[in-house]
Amino acid sequence: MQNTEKLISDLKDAFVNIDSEQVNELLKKVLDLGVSPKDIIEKTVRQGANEVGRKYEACEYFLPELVMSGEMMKEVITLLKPKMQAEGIASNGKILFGTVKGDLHDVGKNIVISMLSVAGFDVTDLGVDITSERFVSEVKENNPNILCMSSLLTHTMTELGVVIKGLEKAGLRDNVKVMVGGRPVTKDYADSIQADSYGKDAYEAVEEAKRLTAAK
Amino acid sequence: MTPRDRLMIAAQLKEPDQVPIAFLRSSYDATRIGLNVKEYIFDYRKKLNAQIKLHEKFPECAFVPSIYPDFGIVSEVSAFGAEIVYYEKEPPMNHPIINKVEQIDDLEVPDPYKDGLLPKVLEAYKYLIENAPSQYQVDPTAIRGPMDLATAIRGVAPFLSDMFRNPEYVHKLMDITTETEINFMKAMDEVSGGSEIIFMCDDIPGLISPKFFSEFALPYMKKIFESFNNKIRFYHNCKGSMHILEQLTETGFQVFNFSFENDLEKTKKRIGKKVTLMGNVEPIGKFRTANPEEIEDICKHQIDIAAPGGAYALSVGGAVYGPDSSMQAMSNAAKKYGKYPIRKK
Repeated sequence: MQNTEKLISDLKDAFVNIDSEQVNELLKKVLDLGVSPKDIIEKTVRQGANEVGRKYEACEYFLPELVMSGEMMKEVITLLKPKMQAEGIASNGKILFGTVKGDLHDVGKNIVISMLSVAGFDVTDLGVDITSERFVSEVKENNPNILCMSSLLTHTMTELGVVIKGLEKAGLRDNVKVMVGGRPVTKDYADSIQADSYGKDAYEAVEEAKRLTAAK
Repeated sequence: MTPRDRLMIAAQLKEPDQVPIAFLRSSYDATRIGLNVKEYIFDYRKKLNAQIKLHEKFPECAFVPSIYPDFGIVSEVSAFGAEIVYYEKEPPMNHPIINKVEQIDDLEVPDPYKDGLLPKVLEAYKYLIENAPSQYQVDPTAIRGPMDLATAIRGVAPFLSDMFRNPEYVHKLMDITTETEINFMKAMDEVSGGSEIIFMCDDIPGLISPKFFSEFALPYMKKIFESFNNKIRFYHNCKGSMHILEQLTETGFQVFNFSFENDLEKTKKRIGKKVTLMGNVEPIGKFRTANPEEIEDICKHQIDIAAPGGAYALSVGGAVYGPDSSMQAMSNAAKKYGKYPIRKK
């Protein structure tokens, strides 16, 4: 038991130290000991991610550390997903995520996706430069709880509203919550286009996603 | 004394007759006069006219670069074969070129006379030199810094994670982008016979730790500035850079256009005797929305902090996003509060 706790603590530290090789090695050991995927995510990945976020806020870490942390989270979640499904661990909700048409930015989107995945959401990354028609058809086909959209340019921000109008027109608006974010997007802007929610950063996006799915 | 003269005196760490005002140029020059950006980029006559109009509208302001062959920031990456996306109202962008890090092995330093948009830039530069009215300086285009170009080729997130996973490839790519920028700048010098300035833009160093800056950025930026040490060397970074200020100055630039996120007073105190500061009014919020009186107050505050002793140019901390009234208010503030000698308060 003591060994298991030590390994879990080491795994969390490896996460915080952005040591991907050590994370892979320790993860195998922890799984061999029979620790549940839920515990692994809660005690190592999620706590590690919080610590990475704290270091970023304190200017001890910078964007490369945040990006690597996001990639490591994604790798762990991908590895654990089949086990979680086999054990019948329910997802907190289904999310579709994409950057709007005309916008090629994805660094922030990828970090938010990793954080949402760690928080137990089943997230599908649609990619960048996604047309409103594609967003609407993906919502129709996949019936997500939340559609997340990001825009990093002032001139692509308007696309966020275009998609929401598209959902209305297709009769899908009441079926899905819409969360928007990105550098030029503000809470006021989100309200003005009648989005359901706005995420200032990855942490706020996770909290908002929890709120939206609880309300549903 | 012309606005450009003032700026060049300040660039030598001296006091001109008044605080210079210097704005960064960008393809927003086109949108200011209702031109489609793509049209502005490929029609050299329209490009020249748009840039002259801005000089005429703000005769008290210097522009960096002055008249120049603007192709946005995609010229160099186009020479590696990148697909360029053009917009009506924004500068063009590109899709990353490589998906796998090993593809860096296949990259070659492009030929500025043959590859992508680079020959077009040289052609436009020649046109501007031959056709710009003599009272206007024609400058080379702003070059993209080696790290900024590396992320344009590889994609920002993959490049940043390569710093952990594939550091040897980061160096390999940085070698290629550094040589690309040096060759491009030399080709522009062939056209002009030698320019007065080099202007390099690289935001990515503001996003990385001091350790990674030292390992992956500093040697390459230094190599570029050292290759052109006979020119006045401008550097722009619109990300916060308080964590690497002293390291940045080791790269060898003389004038620093820096982010509004930087604390001006601390920046002046730490590096203001070594380099000329050009900045750093907040360009997106206040500069766009405040009334002229508020802008003048903001500028007065900046002058009080950074102008005493010279080595300062009043500017925004990024490309110009504000309305004409804000630019005019800045110009007025420099005239009202920026006459040298200026005492420390």
